[in-house]
Amino acid sequence: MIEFVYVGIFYVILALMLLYRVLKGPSVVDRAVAADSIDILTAIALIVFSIYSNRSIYLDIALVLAILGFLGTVLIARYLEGRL
Amino acid sequence: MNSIVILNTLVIIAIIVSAILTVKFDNLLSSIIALAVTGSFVALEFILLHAPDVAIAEAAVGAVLSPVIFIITLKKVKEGKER
Amino acid sequence: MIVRIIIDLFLILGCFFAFAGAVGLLRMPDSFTRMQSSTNIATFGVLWTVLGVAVYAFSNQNFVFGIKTVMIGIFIVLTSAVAGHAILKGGYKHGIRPENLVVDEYRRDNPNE
Repeated sequence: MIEFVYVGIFYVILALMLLYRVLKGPSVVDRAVAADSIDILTAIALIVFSIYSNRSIYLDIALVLAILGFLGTVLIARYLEGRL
Repeated sequence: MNSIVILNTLVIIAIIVSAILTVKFDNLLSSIIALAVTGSFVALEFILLHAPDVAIAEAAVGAVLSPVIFIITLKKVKEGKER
Repeated sequence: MIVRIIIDLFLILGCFFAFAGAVGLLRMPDSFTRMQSSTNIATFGVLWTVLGVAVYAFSNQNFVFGIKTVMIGIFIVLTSAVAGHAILKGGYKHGIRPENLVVDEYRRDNPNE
């Protein structure tokens, strides 16, 4: 279906909007939350683009991005907590 | 105008903005977070250029593994300064 | 035709919830309220979009695509709660407090953290 690419464009625009919060977040926690949301939005854009171009292997990159983005966020939280 | 061209342009703008943020931040942890954002956008751009094997390496190494190594390095350096 | 209407409805709902989460993350006044609003993206925005893509894939007899997509959606919904809890506790121990804090029961229960 050709309309999936417009959904992908919308999600990338949302990720561009969240870069403002990465720029002007007063503390590190805001930046970490915005980076986690950007990871999730990028994974969803990958899912939509993979079904647009009809290739099943592009979904594996979305899975890797979701799993490892979660690990990075948890590690930043452990660093802020002080017991890494 | 083709919609794939619009998608490529938006992702390239995001890569440039987040790379500039990585260099310009004063706090080191904020720079590491911006580096992770840059890595995920670069993985998306590699997918848009139809290179899935490069993208899977970039998503594993550039988006997560190098920020993890930098965070561990930051922790070790701060411990060494207090001593 | 009815399948197409269902897919469009799911995609529009997903786009709306993701947009609401992004606007809340940009405009909320406090760090903790911003964290609450970012959960909107990771649950409803992901769930409706993934359901729309999965319905499209199953209606075309593309079962590998549908099962993988549903697995990614379930994984993101499960792990975003864990990540939110971890980063909230890390931010609290780092010294970030809400603006209009009236009662702090976590500090009362654990006074030495």
